[in-house]
This record gives sequence, structure tokens and C-alpha cells, in this order.
Amino acid sequence: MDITLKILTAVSAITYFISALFHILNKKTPAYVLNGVAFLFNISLVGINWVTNGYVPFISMYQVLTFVSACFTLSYLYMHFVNKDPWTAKYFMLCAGVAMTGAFFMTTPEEWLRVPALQSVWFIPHVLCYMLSYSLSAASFVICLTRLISKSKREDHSVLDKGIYDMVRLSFPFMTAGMLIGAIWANEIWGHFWSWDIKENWAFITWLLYAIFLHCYRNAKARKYMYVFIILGFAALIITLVGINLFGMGGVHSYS
Amino acid sequence: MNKSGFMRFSIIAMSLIAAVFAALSFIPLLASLLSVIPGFSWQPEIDFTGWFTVVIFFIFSIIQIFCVFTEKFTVRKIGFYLLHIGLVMFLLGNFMYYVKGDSFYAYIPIDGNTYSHIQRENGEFINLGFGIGAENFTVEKYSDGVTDKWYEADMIISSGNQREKDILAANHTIKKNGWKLYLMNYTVSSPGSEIDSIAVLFKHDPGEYTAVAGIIFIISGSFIACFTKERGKTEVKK
Repeated sequence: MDITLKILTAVSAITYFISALFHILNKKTPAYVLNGVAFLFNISLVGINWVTNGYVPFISMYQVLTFVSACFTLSYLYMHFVNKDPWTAKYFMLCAGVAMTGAFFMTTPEEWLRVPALQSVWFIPHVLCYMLSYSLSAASFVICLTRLISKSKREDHSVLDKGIYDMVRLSFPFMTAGMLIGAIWANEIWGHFWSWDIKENWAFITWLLYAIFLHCYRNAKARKYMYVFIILGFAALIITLVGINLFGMGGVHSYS
Repeated sequence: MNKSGFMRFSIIAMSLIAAVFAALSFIPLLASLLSVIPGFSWQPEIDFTGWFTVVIFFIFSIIQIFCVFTEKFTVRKIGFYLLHIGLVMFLLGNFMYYVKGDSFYAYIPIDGNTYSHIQRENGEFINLGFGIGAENFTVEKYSDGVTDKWYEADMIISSGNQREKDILAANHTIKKNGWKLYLMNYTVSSPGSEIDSIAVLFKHDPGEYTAVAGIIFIISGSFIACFTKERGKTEVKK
């Protein structure tokens, strides 16, 4: 089973990267076909993990990353069809490829011992909202970097700026919901909405930085600083998602 | 101060709040990083529950209230209003607990008796106005024999001559007379013996409903605000 998962992860990651490359080269048909293929592999992985767990695959960083990869395509579909931003495809595919590559190097867990605290109706919406939000935030960060290093025309810059704003605007309510559903859950299980756990603190800092970005974008004089908050926001997001666990400082979130 | 100027002021204020929290939250990470140095031990304890946090969030609430008044009311801005008012309500709910709330941990023996006076950590007895006791306790383990799969206590709640039964478990609290009871853990008096008592958190939170209403306002407000199509109101620098 382990080798099957590894192969699926590798194939999915490579296909996402090739899809991103075709999007960059403006070869639409192969880009979308490969995007669909990569997504199918990705969804198969999520399905296998789900069956293995007997529950939603949020057991470990490996499963979370494979789930986030799928969220990139779902977020892209919204950006394409609702926000009419089809040009964002390459950024989403690139991010999905990076997330899948990360998943490839992680160990695949065998059994999930879901402790009583995690057996709550709030668990799935809490994690799901964060996954959707993080996928959009990651893509907005990549666009922000592109915007800062590109020397294209001013009109192109305004398109990129609008793209960043649209993504954060879509990401922010999910981030808010993820954080506050967590607060309601914490009140049900630990008796307080907020326990100033290190992971909670960094989640709040991340939320605040993205809120500042949204305010900056809407203010003419402050707009030039908005990129700073996208970069800081994403750095805080990485600390929240990976950094805290890497340092072994999960606190009350030690099982996440 | 006009609307644009006030927005810049709130950007600066929020940036300062983010900077303060980031600096304080970075200290434990730094301590963890430095712990790789042989012989170096630093375990900083940062308290976020004191007056300092209250002052910061009081200022944050005032900014939210000003934000609401600087925007002219239109139905299209309902999301904006819900979000900012919700933030104030959530903080107010938590402040009500900070001022008037109470909570303590106590061990309840699993002996079928009810207790109306519960001893808190400092030795003081609290009269709950009702009796509470544990009759039975069930614990289910995973195949490794160590990790808990589920545990719950059959509780008795007495009030006058009435005796009610309810289940206390993780994610399943009991509410009575303004107190909320949480099952936190279970204990054994000696290794290998039967589970003889449960650790219960007793909490009286007058701001709980205000905080929950605030959360509902914030979540719905952020979705409405961010999913409402904009009408080119974003400022553009000339």
C-alpha cells in the first residue's frame, strides 16, 4: 500500500508541474487535460487515505498536504468560473505540485487513533475551512512574488494585484470560519474559546496580517504596502501550519 | 479624521497589534531553537491572559466601533457591519467572563453520591445550588491498549428531591444553574486499580452567548462582505 501511495503522489506532483508548465507556455488544451489527470490521481489518493482511516484524511501532515493539493484545483475552478480569472491556473497548479512534492517526502501513517477530543462535529469544518483558505493564500503569495519580480507593463501589474486581492478575499472568510469554528469547538471541549496556545496565537497573527492586507488594498495611500502583508501573512501561515509542529510545540494542538 | 485617514490609522493599529503578538509568540520558538545548544536551557513563560491583552483588545474594540461609524449605512455593507460588530461582541463576551466569570477544576468520586459543595483548587468550597455526582464510568481503548477511544461518565444531578441522569463526555457537556461541566480526565488512586474519580471543569460564563453570537456575526459577516460583488468603490491613487 505504501509504495502505491508513493507512486500516486509522485505521478500527481509531476503531472501538476507539467500542467503548470503548459499553462505558462499558453498551451491551453494539454494544460487542462494534465490538470484533470493530476486532479484524478490526487482525488484517488484522498480516497485511499479516507478508506484507510475510515474517516476524513486529516490524520497527519502527509494526508493534509494531499488534501490541500486537491483544494488548489477546487479553488482554481472558483477563480476561473466565478471570478473570471482563468490566468491564475499556472499559480494554482504550481502550488499543488509543491504541496504534493512535500507529501511525497512524508511518512504515510497506518492507523489513526482518534482520541475523544477529536470526535466532534466541528472537526471537519474547522480543518476544511483552513485547507481551502491556505490553498488560496499560498497561490496569492506566488502571484505576489511574480508581481514583485516581474518587469512587465503597468496594466499587467494591476491584473496581478487584482488577482491577489480576489484570492485573499476568497480565502479570508474561510480563514475566519476555520479559526472561529475552532474557538467554538475549544469552548465545547476545553471550556474556553481561546487558550493562548502557540498555534492559536500564530493563527490569529496570520488572520490579522491578511485582514491588514485587505484594508491596505482598499486604501490608495496604503496600497503600496500590501505586498509586505501578503509575504508576512504567508510566513505566519507557514509557522502556524508547519513551524510549530516542527519545533514540537503543538501544545493543545499537538495531535494536529 | 476622514474615512480614508481612519482606515490608515486602523492599518497602523492592527500592524502594531500583530507585531506585538508576533514578537511575544516568537519567544517560545526562539527558546526551542536555542535549546539545541548544549547546556542551554530557557523556558520562557508568556502570559497572554493579563491586563496587557485586555488593554490591547479594548483598543481594538474601540477601533472597530469607530470603523462602524465612519461607514455610511447601506444594505450592501451589511457584511462589513456584521463583521465589525461581531468582533466587538466576541471580545465583549470574553471580557464579561474575565470580569464576572468563574471556573475551577475538581475531582468527583465515582461512588453514586451527589455533592453540592465542591472544593476548588485553593481549598474554598463552592455551593453550586444543585448536587452533582458520578455513578458509573466507561472507558474504551484502541487495540494498542493505551490510547483512549472513548470515555464517558454517567452523572447524577440532584435538585431538591429530584434526581436526573445525564452523560458527561468529551464534546458533551452538562449545563445546570448557569454552570457548565466539562469532563477533562479520569484518575486511578493506585496503578492497576479501578478508575475511582473524574476530573471535571466547572465553568460559569455570563458572556458565553454574547461571544457565540459574536462568532456567528463575524463568520457570516466575513462571507457576506467578501462574496458581495464590489462596485468599483476601491480607492485608486491619482
